[in-house]
Amino acid sequence: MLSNAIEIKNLTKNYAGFSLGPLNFNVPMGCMVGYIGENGSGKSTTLKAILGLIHPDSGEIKIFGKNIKEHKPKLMNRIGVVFEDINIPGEMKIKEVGKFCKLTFDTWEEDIFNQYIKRFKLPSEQNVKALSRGMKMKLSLSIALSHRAELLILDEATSGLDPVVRDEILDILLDFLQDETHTVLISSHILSDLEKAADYIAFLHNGQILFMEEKDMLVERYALCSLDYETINNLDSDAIVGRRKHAFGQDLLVIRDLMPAGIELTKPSIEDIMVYIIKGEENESTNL
Amino acid sequence: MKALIYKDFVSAKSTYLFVLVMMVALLVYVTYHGVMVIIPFLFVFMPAIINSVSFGNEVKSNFPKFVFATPISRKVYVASKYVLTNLFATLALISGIILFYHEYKNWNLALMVGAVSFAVTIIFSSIQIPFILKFDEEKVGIAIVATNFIIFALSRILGRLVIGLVSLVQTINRFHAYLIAGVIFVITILILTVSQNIGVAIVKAKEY
Repeated sequence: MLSNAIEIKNLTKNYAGFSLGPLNFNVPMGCMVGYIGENGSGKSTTLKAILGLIHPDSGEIKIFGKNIKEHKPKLMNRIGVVFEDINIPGEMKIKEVGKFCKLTFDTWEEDIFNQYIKRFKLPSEQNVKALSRGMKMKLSLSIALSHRAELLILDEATSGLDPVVRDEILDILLDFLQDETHTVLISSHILSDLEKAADYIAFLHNGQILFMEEKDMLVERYALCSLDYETINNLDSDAIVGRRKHAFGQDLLVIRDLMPAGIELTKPSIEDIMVYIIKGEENESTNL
Repeated sequence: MKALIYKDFVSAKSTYLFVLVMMVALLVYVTYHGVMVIIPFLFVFMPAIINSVSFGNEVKSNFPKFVFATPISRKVYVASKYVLTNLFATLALISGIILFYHEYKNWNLALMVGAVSFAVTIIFSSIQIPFILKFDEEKVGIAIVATNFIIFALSRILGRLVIGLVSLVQTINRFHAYLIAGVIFVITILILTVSQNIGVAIVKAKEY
């Protein structure tokens, strides 16, 4: 039995002024992987490479054990995709989008699509261009979930949505994951969403994966503390991942296991980890 | 394929309606004036107009990004762009043969006009479609205008060719008429195949 829904080996893609990779990581079957990183770090490029929308310079991408290049049309029946924009001509009505998808996907389930349309209160006679951003996103998600997809790939799908809609979408993703053969790879800037739902976090920075770890392990591995300069000088330098200076000392993101006993440590959020690692790097080079 | 044709139709309903109204108005006009032989040539420019609108809609919504994340392959996508052209070309062929035979009772002439109308319809789109596929969002408008300009410029040359053919058919026998029509068909199909292959190569090389 396959253990990974997606396997990426030595993936590289070079543009003028930006290089992605070499990337090596797997998305385990039955999990939600949050793909995070700052703007321009290469998240969308990776997802586009997985979907065969761009041509990598090198490397191999397998989905469900099959090379995406060779098996793309068939594999796409098993993959639901939600982009930041809906990318469907605005003149089409929602019911026409459903008909289009029925003619497109071998595995299309009209009843399920209609159920989602009802559940999301989407007006089926409405043109796509007249829908709000939240409604467009719900329509995208309805399409992704109506063709028996086993893998969902979402690229910044929740950005620009209000917390209620985001929460609704996260609930649906968690429902989807109730089937242990289902997998979700989601890139998002809204790290609090991933904090709620993701099993793993893959952190992309300057085109490289800095880590891919179980979310719970990640927040256990790192810790936050605020120390004066004297205490910091006595610390193992390997323990410090990132820092922020202030008038009385520094706030540090540290590796919990390398910290001496007696220092008060607090649990970081995913956002803390991301920000400290990125900012910490800048601080190391400019302030120390 | 069916899905893409359906999408083209529903996303450009008003254009199709406009084309239909225009066609009906022209049909009424040419019938009233007794110049029904113009009808086959009406089909020639229709695919070029509809293609421009269809591609315009797709570029606006970045539709290829959506469609290439579905089971539709790039090859099928490109092939779908030629379906309407083939339909109009067939209509031009049939109407050319029927109307010219009905008007002049000259089979050779009818066959030649049918073949040329068929060829011209396909050649216009075969030039236009790869151009539109090649250029990205910012340049696609320029590409549409440029290719339409080329097509209209070519239509003058092709007009002379038709006149030449008409005088030629007065002097040839039926066998030669079939032969010339056959050559026109073969060359047209070759151009169509080359154009489709260029289109597929362009779309396969593109990133979305």
